[in-house]
Amino acid sequence: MTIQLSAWVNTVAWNPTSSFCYIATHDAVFTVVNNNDKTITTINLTHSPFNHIVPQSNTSFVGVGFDRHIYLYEYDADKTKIELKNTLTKTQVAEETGPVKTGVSDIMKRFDAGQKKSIQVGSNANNFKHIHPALINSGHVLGNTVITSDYAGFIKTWNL
Amino acid sequence: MQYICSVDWSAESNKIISSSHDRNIYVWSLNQTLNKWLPELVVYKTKVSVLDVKWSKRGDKFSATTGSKLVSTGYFSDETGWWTCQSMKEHKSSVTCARFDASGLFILSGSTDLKAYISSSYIQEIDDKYTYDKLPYNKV
Repeated sequence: MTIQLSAWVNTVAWNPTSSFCYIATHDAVFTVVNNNDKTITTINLTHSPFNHIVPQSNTSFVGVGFDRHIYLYEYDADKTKIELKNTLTKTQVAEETGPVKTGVSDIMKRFDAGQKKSIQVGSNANNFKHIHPALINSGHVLGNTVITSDYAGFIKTWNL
Repeated sequence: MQYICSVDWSAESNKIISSSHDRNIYVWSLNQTLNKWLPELVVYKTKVSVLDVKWSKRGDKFSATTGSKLVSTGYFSDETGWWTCQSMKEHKSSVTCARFDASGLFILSGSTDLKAYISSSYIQEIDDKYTYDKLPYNKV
């Protein structure tokens, strides 16, 4: 099966039952191919293109890209619609209180000193409160937790 | 040593696969005695970088994509005792990513030629060991 697109393909994924194919292209267009009825649904993203997408459930997926945010989308096969459900980074930044530490070098010193713990942002956060300082390279989903790595050298966990 | 562009771990087989701009793919296995991850070089001939590697769900096959328009399915050949690959050349440009479906029989690949393909990744030596009651779709 060939799917003609409009730009370079950044990343592809299947949903857990392989009934949908997710394709993210560099022109910020997201495509879902429904393998059951062979329909193709596209959405023009209102943010930067995805660099990496990971299925979160049979109909939802998490996407990370070039604008340092994490997006949760849902595909409705009945309505052939792709909807943005949540932007994790914006939600969690809004909930944070207190000073925000941007000390990248401070964190790297701790890492070098052997404190190789992942940094968790959210209600159970460490002393650090961190906004993504750099592009997110990839993400993985484990249950209700998203784990991301970015070009600043950080690994972070987020609550869905 | 060059840029390592892709790494993946399989929970089923507990193996790590890595690819790099030096055109090599390594499968890493944990040696319990030495408590060390030991690499095995995959027999894979390509003239340019291997861009993306990913395990299948069962962890007995992996997909590999290259800048030389290839999408490959890698597996361990019992006959030769090597990790080896079978390649497909459908794309007209660098293949940036490829993923197996849940059964491991099909690969979804995307490329800079503005196309995505769903292709068969059937390997007789590996896939004949399993029975498939229901495939996700009737035909590709």
